[in-house]
Amino acid sequence: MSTPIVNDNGVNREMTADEAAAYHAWAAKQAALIEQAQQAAADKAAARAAVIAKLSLTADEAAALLG
Amino acid sequence: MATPPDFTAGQVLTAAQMNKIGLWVVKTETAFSAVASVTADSVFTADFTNYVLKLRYTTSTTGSVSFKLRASGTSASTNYNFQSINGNGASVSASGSTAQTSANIGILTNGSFFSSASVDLFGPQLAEATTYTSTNMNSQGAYTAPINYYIAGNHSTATAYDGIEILVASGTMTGSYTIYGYNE
Repeated sequence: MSTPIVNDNGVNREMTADEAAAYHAWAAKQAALIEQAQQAAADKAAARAAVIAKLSLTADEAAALLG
Repeated sequence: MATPPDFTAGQVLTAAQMNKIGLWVVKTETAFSAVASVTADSVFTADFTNYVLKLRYTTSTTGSVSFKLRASGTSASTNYNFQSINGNGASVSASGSTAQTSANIGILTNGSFFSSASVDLFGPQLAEATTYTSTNMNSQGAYTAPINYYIAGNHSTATAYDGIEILVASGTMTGSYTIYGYNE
């Protein structure tokens, strides 16, 4: 893994080992949060599709009813 | 004499007139290219209470853009809370996050499609919580589908900060930023 670059008050330099470790830990947490959000959105879409299927609605009818 | 801001050529400005200038550059426009983060230290001082960060950027991949407040060159990584609303085509979504390690201010661009964020920061240099709002125009891989992203939040730690770090969650970012202080 290459060392991340920081623009430090206008000057590019490689992050120190401590800075890079903190950055990678932060980035990993951000990736996990995005994954959670995407999964939640997918679950919500699946639940909506299941309800629409149960009600035998067309796509236009579902849009008119649910927005 | 013309009343400011209708200045006339050769007019001598008084201190009282100059002190009414609303925005003061505390960090001149600074360009960055293909970096994971950007730091700006010694920008928040007792001279101003509130600030605005103007950020123009692209991201190389799908990482969103966030900030952390800094004190004496060290970024604070706890106690960020924010709520966002996102308008994308005909869809609107909202989400809230608490106790985060940074404050989100913008979404990814995923390529050379410029996005922009105007981030108002309220009281970062006070030993109180800092609040912020970010209005983000976002281009996720195309200019034909701009996304409207609005975030309001805070950093609840009651500490005085003098700087800011802007980070992208993956890949790199390219662009420029300027920070202004709001004159009171």
